[in-house]
Amino acid sequence: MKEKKMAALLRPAAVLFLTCLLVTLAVAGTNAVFAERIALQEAATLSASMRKVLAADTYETVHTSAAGEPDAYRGLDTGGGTVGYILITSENGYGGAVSVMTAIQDEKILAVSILDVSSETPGLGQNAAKPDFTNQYTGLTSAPTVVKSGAGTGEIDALTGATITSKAVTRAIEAAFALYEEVGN
Amino acid sequence: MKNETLSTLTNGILKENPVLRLVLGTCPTLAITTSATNAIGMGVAATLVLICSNVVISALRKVISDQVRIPAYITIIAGFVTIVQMVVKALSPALDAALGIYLPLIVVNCIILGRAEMFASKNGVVLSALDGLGMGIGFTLALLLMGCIRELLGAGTLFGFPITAGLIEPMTIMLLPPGGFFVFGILVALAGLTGKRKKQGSNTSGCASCPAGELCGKSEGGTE
Amino acid sequence: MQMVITILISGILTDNFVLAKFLGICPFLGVSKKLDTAVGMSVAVTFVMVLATLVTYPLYKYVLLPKSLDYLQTILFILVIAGLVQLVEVVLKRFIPPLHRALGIYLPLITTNCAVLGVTLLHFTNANVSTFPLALLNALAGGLGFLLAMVIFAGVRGRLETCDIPKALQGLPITLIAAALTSLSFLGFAGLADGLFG
Repeated sequence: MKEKKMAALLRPAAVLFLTCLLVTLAVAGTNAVFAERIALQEAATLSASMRKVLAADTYETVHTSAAGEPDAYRGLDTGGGTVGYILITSENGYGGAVSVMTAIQDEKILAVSILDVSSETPGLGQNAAKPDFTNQYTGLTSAPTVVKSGAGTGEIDALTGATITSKAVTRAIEAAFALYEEVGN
Repeated sequence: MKNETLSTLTNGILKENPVLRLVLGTCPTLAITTSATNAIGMGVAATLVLICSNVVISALRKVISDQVRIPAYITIIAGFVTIVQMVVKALSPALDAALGIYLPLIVVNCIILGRAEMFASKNGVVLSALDGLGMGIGFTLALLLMGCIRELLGAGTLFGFPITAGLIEPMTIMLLPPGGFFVFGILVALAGLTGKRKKQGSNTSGCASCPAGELCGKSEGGTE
Repeated sequence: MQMVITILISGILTDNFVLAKFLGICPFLGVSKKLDTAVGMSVAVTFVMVLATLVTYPLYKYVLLPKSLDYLQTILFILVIAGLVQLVEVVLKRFIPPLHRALGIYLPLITTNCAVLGVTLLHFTNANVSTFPLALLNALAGGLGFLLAMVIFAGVRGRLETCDIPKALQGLPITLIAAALTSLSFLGFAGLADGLFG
């Protein structure tokens, strides 16, 4: 009686186990095929962004985040001299993390590029990626205050209807300055 | 035989449209339809998973016994979702970022598990593939409809091309959650008008097509 | 401490799982008709969310990531959730029958609830959730937000019963429009966490 029960349980369990095994193999196989391509894509996107904010001959990693990802680069020219630093920081915005790339040289921001703003609202927060917004940070020596309109020195205009996203980007730039202090010496 | 294959295919597009009639897969419908391009991306990804899982589950239907069928289906579906995730990441990182967590969430999309349970486990491979394709097309079309409406009203663009953007101030609320619920509600009402509703009862939420549907109904009915 | 409050506020109010993130819509629309079923379902969901985070977070962070196996995340997470739900049901039935009678019917539904899989995945894209205890808190906040949304909506639907609704809108359409208005009210919380801490 017990034997019959065992046999009845064994077959479905075996089928389930085999299914799991086959699926895992299929997925691992696909991963082997695509992993390199995905890594190349990501590297290409990253270097394109880096070139946009800081023109340099080579970029060397000078700091990695707690998660093991490089988050600070030093840009070098052909002579080996430092052209500037690139910092990658992220802060929570409206719907998730907003990732910002800041280029700083001699304590001044050269350029800001938004890496990932997909968690923000399209048409509102996602406009943070536009140069109209990011250009406001160029030339600043510290994180500005976010105001609704009529920004003076040390202030920037928030995006219409997206104060939270604007503040998140500013907080990320503040973190970039902190990271710069850490690596830029 | 030919009639059967054709009707299996068109079934999912109109008569039993998974989103507007059966009301399955509501989460991505509301979340991803902020732009027409995202809607198509999600629709195509889900259709791919649906066809593949339908085919495999149908092929294995005689082998997978009843007791382990739900975990087995989930494993197979999760496998295909992971594969599609990798393909999307490799071919279009922009789409991957736009779809966010809703791409892996295709795994718990009631449409796929529901069709596996209702159709693929009881029919042949070719018919199951066609059912998957039909349901997938229906899903994509419904998403596209909602995406176009929300993008046009909410941002004044269609597929990224400005249509009314410079002329009228767009209603951004359409891109936010309330807009999603509202447009979906209106579309379901319209879909109901253009044909008989699935059930003329108080619970037309389509839970009936979900494998856990009876439990949903039980929990509702038991305390009535 | 500030992070704790930020996570609680964003999980329950500003980033409400149902009304802002569109996770868990099926049970939201299906089970929110009566208050007691709404509460029962939400409690079960919160419980599974925290339990699932308890198992999946360390699995991902300390097993999958270090071994570059992160592509197995989706499969592993959903199977863990399905397994946990089964386990919880069996344990409840055996050791706490009254609780099983109250919550038991909702448990199988929770496996396919996007909110549970969603919360386990979202921990890793949320810049505020940097440690394991914060992830557990985040899961709890998500569940409580789900509860809040369900309870409020049960009240709204209760009032809808006594209203005169045009035939075309009866049933699901008016429920969705009511959800739109409820979600609109939650938009008012946007910026709360930001504003509290400047």
